Amino acid sequence: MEHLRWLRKDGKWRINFMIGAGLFLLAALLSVIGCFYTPYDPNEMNSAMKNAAPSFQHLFGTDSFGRDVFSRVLKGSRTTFLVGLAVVSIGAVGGTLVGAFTGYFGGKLDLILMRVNDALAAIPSILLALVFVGAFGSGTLQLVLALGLLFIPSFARVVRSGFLVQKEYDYVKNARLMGAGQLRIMFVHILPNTKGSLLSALAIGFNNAVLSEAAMSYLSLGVQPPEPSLGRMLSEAQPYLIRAPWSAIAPGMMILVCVLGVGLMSIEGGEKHD
Amino acid sequence: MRYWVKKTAALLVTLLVAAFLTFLAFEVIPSDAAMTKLGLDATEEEIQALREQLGLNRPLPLRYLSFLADAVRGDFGNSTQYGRSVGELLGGRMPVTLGLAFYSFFLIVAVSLPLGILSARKHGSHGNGGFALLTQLMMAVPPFFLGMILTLVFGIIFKVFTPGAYVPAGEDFFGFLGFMLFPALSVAIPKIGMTVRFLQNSLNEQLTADYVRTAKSKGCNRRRVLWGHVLRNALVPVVTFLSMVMAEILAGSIVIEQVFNLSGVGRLLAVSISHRDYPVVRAIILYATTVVILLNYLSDIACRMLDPRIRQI
Repeated sequence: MEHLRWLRKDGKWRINFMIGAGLFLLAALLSVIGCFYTPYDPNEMNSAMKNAAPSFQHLFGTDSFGRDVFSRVLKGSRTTFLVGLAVVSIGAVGGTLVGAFTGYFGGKLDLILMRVNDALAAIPSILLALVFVGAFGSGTLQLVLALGLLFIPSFARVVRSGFLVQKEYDYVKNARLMGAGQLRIMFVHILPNTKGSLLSALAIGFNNAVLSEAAMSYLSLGVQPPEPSLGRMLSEAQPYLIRAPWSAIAPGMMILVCVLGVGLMSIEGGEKHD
Repeated sequence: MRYWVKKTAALLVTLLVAAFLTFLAFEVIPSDAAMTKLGLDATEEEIQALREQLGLNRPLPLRYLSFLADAVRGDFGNSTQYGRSVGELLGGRMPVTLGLAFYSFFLIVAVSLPLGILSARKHGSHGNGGFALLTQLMMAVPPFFLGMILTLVFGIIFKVFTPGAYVPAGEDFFGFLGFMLFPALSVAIPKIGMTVRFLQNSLNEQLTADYVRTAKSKGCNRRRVLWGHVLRNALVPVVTFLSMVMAEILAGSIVIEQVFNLSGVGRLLAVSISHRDYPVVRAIILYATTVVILLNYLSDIACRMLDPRIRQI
């Protein structure tokens, strides 16, 4: 009930948040459906139906191989979102550990790790991901590992600054006096209090991960065929932009809807916890 | 004066470290230049002889020094894919990428500074309203998808430009500007959304500061407070932000060059990675990190000019 009340602010509905939540739910629903059911086999080619316009048989039309674009979007968004989630999980867990230890203990380790952090943060992540893939080959696993590692610094920074503030508070001293261990103080007492900034970092991180995955797969350096991914679909659709624009618009809109949804929720969601 | 010396020394050290990391990254790759050159049938003796000749058997620090000396002279070896020298290859591609980068940077600054200032004057919750929706929408569009939509609408439907027909700036400058507008817009639009949002937050933060209240109570009108007092302070973080944006423009152009079929450095990088053309990849990475480090250096200097209180290194 309290959550519902939060949706109204100064007598006005938080329209942007609700639009965002709606878009995100739509994208999530479609990709969950993609895990279990697609109207056609996403990789089945039909030479009689090449570049067919959207119709009731093929909601988003077919691509240059005669594959059903709607089924491919369902399956592809599943891949894209799973990669996004995996990347954010690696980044968040790694970043929380690094940020918690450096923020709580400080000292030389903090100094060194933060310099490395700054250096990594200065270089655009897609460039580093390209280097990683260049060195270790392209594929879904390499992509997830590369992006996941590259997302650690941004989470580490957020968690660290939260810990720096929180560790001075009285409740931490209290817990210490009551004999709580260092690890318990860090992860049971302090971590929940950094929830607000961590949540918006998660939202931004997820969006960046989805966009990076799409870009890398677009360059054929990410998810490899036959596995459909939204970025890959866009690069395959590009030569047929004149004859079958729907096969590019559908996957592009899917990325847009998801990223916009999460983005809109995060602006006001961040405010909630501040 | 001491500031400059310290700052420049730090710049040199950072450059050396970045060059070392780039060098090291390509040392650990499980690929041997001698083996790639001779193929799988080569005998052990042949490989050893070539390794000796290429200097691959020397100790690591020595190889690093010779790598540095070559890099300073602009000698990055030969591309395994094209058989030409890497320096020559990069030189031919550079104008396209730099043109795209400066064009998009110009668009970002020219659009987002006025927009940010305009929106900050209507002070309010930044999460609400159509403006926030618009900036969020700009940030959510994948740049390459935006590029395709622009090609579809302006290249194919309205025929404002011919997709894929790049016009070099040297031949027809206005033709170049006209063609490059669309790639530059694809790079710029997401960044405009980010920059406007950032500037807006920075301005709103300053507008609640004590000195603004003092200025107002002394009878300054809103306009004078904004232009005379707030803007200069609010711009300091924006300059740092813009230097990061510039770095991201360079990275973003990798994808955009692919979309618009421009033969720039970014496209060369993507192709070289797929073909495992390591000399080219290494040279481009070195170039990119150098540019990023230089940008950070320049933005630090610009920040200090805007706000002389900044003294830490």
